[in-house]
Amino acid sequence: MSAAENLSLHDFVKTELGADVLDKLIHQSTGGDNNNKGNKYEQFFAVYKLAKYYSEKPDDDIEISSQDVGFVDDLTVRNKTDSSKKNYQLKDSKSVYWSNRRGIKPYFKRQHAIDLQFYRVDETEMILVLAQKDVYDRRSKDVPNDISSYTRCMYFPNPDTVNELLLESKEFKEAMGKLCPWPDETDKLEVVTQQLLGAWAAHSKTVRSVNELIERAKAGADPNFFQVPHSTLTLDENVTSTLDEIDKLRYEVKGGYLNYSLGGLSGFVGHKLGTPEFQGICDEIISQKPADAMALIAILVGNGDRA
Amino acid sequence: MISPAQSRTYRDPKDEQAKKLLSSLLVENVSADAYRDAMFRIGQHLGNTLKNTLDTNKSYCVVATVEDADFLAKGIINSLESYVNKVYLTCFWNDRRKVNDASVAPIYKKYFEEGFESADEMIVVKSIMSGSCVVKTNITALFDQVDPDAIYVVSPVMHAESDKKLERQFPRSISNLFKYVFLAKDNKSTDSGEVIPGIGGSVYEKLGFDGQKHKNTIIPRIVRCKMLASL
Repeated sequence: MSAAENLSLHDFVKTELGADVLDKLIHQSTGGDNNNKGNKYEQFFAVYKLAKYYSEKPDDDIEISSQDVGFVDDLTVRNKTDSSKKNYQLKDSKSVYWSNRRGIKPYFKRQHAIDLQFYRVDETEMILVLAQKDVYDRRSKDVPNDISSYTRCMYFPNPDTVNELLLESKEFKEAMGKLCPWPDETDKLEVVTQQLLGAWAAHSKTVRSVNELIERAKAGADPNFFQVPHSTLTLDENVTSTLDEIDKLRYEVKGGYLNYSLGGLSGFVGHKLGTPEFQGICDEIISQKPADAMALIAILVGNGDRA
Repeated sequence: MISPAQSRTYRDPKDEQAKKLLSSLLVENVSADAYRDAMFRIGQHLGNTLKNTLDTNKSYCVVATVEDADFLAKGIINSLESYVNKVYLTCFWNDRRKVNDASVAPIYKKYFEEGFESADEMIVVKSIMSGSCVVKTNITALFDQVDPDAIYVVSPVMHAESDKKLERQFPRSISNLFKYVFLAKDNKSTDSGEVIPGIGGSVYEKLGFDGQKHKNTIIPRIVRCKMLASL
């Protein structure tokens, strides 16, 4: 949000909600939590949402930010295509309440009013994201009636590491899996996740577009385990005719890589189709015409199938 | 200044064989052949240590890396295969690197011996346990298919904090299954993470490989034999 937009929001809040509410907004925006917005839980959740929106709504114009000023502001997602806004508040604590001295209901109500009257979106939703399952079980059952039409709770764990998150959260693993040609292989998903985290840390202060953030992650990806959509690259017929003669060999092109399995060994050639290195392997297969599994493995493993 | 010797703690200070075997890895300018032989004999020694704990009626899935398969892992398998019900071999070709400043070890190839999923427990073999990213990656890759009752993490030398680093990567339901079998723990490492004195340096070069890229172009003999038998 620019300084001019910030001022306009402040004007709106002061006029419509009162000076004391504006004070609370300013305090929230400049407080310690805000200055530490890059914490791990928020980063993990942000890349989860990045991946989900990118795969579920690839044609929508969606902006995502952890820098917005607001009352429910750990992460905001604005879909300009369907005029909707989702606001996420993340809590990893046992002390999360709707309505006590430090209850969060007033914040959700204020944000709802701001979304409809200032941002003028058609639909707005507040999501309380909880890291502790027992807290989620309780809070999801007692959402106050006066905010329940636009409020829900969500459980998202907060483990120490990406690997543990991929093991603990089926939803997180599935979201990352949608970006990767090997959706069940945690080692590849971990790499993709780290690349998204890197892009988020590097660019999210200046780039809001979901699609652009994902493209930035892909552009710098090495190794690149991102799905290649609508790839037209195929194997040369002279190569496939040789491969088809190898007993017990199974192969397919996934994510732009040649994947193979035989005799208990499975893997993929480390250079993508269309690269000079991969062409070198194809040339060798065509010229040597390996007739059995081990002769083929010697070409795939020895010449290009290296990390 | 703490000498390399002082930074090491032996699991069994009375195990003179272990001390001798580990010292043989630290010999200056040791040849690749001698180093490979030492790793094989260390594997046999670790296998004999494991026998005190393993169930002869159970089947075990050995989880090895390509560089360790023909030496350390083969020594362990050699020691155990006629002692327990069955030993299955799995082998991984990992590419260890940094992504977003995090250590990752994606798998480019893997070998799974037929029947490995029926193993009761896993024996994860690693020449040196330092940051644990390779061990973490390979346990994660296999866990759902094997669903082990226990996971033995077996290494000649472990860095003193490597077990905690490994356990951070897993929910408690999995890390509670880990049982560590080692000959020595070292509490020093270089800035780049190499354990001191560890196993005498980078294991790839010590074993005669020309670095990480080269070891990923090799099919270990033990894997090749099993593949040929099945093809």
